[in-house]
Amino acid sequence: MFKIKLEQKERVSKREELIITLSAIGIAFVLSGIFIALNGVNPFVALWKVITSALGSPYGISETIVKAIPLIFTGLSVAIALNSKLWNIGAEGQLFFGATLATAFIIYGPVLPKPLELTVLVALGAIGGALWAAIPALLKIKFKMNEVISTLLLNYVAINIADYFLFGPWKGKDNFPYTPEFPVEARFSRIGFGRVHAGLILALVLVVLLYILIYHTKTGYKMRLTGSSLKAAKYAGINIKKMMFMVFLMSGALAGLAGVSQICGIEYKLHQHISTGYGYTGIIVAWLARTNPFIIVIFAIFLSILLKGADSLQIAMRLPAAVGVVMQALILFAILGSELFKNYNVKLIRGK
Amino acid sequence: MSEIIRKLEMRKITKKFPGVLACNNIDIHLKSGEILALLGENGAGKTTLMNVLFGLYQPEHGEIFINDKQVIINSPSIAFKYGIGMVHQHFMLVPNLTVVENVALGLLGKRIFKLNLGEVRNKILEVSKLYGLSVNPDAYIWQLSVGEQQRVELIKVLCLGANLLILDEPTAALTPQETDELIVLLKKMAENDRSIIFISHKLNEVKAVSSRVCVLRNGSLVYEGKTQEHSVAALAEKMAGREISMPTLKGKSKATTPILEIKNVFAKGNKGTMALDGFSLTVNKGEIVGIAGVSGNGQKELADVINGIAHIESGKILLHNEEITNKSPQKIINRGIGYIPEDRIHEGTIPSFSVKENIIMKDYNKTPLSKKLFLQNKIIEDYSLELIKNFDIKCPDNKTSCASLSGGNVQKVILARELSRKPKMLIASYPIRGLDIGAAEYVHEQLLEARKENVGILLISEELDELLDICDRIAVIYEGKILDILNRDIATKSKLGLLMAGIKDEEKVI
Ligand SMILES: Nc1ncnc2c1ncn2[C@@H]1O[C@H](COP(=O)(O)OP(=O)(O)OP(=O)(O)O)[C@@H](O)[C@H]1O
Ligand SMILES: [Mg+2]
Repeated sequence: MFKIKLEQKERVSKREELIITLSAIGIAFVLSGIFIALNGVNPFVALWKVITSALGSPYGISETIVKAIPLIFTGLSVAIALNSKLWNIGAEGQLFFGATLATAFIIYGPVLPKPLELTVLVALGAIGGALWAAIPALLKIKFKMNEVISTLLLNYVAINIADYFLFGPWKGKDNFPYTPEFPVEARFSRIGFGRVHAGLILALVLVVLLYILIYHTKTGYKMRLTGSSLKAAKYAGINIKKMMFMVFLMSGALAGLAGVSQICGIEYKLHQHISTGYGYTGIIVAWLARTNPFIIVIFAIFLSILLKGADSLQIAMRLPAAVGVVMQALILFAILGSELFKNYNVKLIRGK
Repeated sequence: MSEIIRKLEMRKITKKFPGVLACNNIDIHLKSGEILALLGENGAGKTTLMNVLFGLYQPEHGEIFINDKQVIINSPSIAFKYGIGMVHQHFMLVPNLTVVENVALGLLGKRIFKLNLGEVRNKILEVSKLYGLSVNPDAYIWQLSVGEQQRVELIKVLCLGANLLILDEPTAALTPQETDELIVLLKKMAENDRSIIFISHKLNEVKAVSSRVCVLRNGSLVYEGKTQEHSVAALAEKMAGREISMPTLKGKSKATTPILEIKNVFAKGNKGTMALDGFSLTVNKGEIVGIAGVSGNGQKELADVINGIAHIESGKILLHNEEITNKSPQKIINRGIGYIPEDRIHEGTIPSFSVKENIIMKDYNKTPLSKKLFLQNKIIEDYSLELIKNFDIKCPDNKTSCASLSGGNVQKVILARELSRKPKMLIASYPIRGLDIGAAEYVHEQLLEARKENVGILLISEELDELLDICDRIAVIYEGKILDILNRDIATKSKLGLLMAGIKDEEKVI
């Protein structure tokens, strides 16, 4: 008889961590393959289709990047909260609220010269996201309400607020729930590669800034300290409530930027489908990247390949639309499961 | 209950951690009825060796024999099955559960579905009565002082009916009276043919309780022999590999300028009652004032309110004639109060942070460690290496996480941080708890050195020897108030002992 034994380990090398993450993804792929096979499609053919559709042509690559942009924002949003052990499940709602606020300016405000207009829109998107995140932050600080639940539930509220405007005052001419197209002043410039837009540059700048913030500034140190132990943070003189509030605002602002980047970079209008669950996929990105901003870029691209690939599987191979969601779920499960291997040495031993 | 362990042998045990050989080919043995003391400096490998015996770690090499039969112990539940129980150095209790529930957790196993909390409760009361360990079974762990928590750990193992007991520094947080009681208890258990492995840095206790000693140094067994053949000083020398003499304070303090004044302070404790109940005390510059008292009489709250971590209801606290009452911890840190907290794992350090990151915990926001918004990594690097060297912190490098340091070395990290900041006033709660005698010597030297440099020091301790060694004055705290203050020339153990029990006037008692 063999038994499994867990032995706590104190530190994981970067290499070990990478191997564990990659193995988890591998396992998720195998399981997805089984799921695809059960639908009567050869999983290797499907995998090939995913890769070629996402990376096989300049068009495919540019579309993959377009999908990765919002994921970088939401990944950063979730990661920065996670870094202080706060769970922001509400990036989706913050994304919508940021987008709604920016749209309000486009609809009711004056049309400014392009640089100014875009600055205002970006700022409003960030402020909108931050405001929406301020609610769960206050609930947590004042009433000790668990942020997992409050952020999650507020997603529905934010989406419904957007719906109210889309089905009401902002309804399009043909009575469909979308706003009129934005003027050119309110559109991000393309950078000369398919539909890839300036939102990418904004995202990458933020990646660098956040890396510096987390690992090289006093604020970042305080954030990590607070995330590690509240008692010790207090002992070290940190104002914990202020810290949590600030982190929530930053997290919300980043998610709000995802919203602006979607409406001003791709859609040029607000409608119900500006996000295909980017706020939730951001959670997976953040987990995979273990809160390191640079690695977030890599995993944002990885997940956008899957999203893009799943779209084409659905079209080309008549697989159910759920394939993409199922794969994401499997990856999340595998990653959560792999935590065990990060914290423990798992040994197979002789035993009775 | 399992068969009694008549004979235990650990043969050629080797256990490695990344970068550390924690146990190197160690042989130890033990007969029933014996109390074996395991000695060694911080980081010598005592806890690791015991974790191997208790099934928490798998050794790279080595075998364990019980009653001449080889056994494989690869989990604590197997260890329990063989009758081995362990009380860990750092408590393994769940703070949000009650005493009963915590003990019940230990009893889980096959009985998950028919666990009867009432039954467990009775068992606890029975055990606590049998051994004279008082505890409220329905209290939550977070409400208990460290000493009380230790008692719960003991009760837990006793409830499980272990016949070989491993006690990893069980007395570190006990009062002198509790320690004496524990020693009597352990001897009684040994007479009943149980065997005990006892780890402690307090050699007086080792002398009093054990029949044999094993000394580890750097992971190897360097000495084994009968306790009675050696004096305390000789044991200390065997451990450290050099002669140790605890420093004592010499010369009277001429201190008269108050640095810290606490005036009639009232503050609530965890349990909602007044933990500080009209507390007043003054500490002068260049003076060490001891706070003696049984733990749970307001010491924790006292340290917390001075440091702004807890609020006071009424009263005043002055530092250098300036009010610091209910100021934020950060402001108080900036004013120059250093604090060595009682709970070094959860409060004083962050286990997952590296030694380097722990060292800058209070100074990360000051030049030169940071400039404007940014941390100065190069300077932090040098600063941490310097402190590691000056305070002789044993770690593979400054990026090692504090979680993998031995207990004593974690304490050194805190000391290094708090003393290097050159505080004006230092609050030290149980600063040598769990330290090996060489390290304790070092801490006391450092405190005396700080005193010379005119730092005011408030030393909270239950260790009367410690207080008598280095304090100018010793105040006794009882139920949240100072009962009396004795000058060093008239303070004796017996006087302090009576005061600690709440008895002020000797004549009246007699
Ligand atoms: N889980 C671990 N991972 C890595 N290193 C460890 C781990 N546990 C202990 N060590 C290292 O092994 C050595 C022995 O540690 P151990 O805790 O056994 O010492 P100890 O004798 O109990 O010391 P103390 O008196 O301070 O409690 C130390 O150098 C320590 O840093
Ligand atoms: Mg130990």
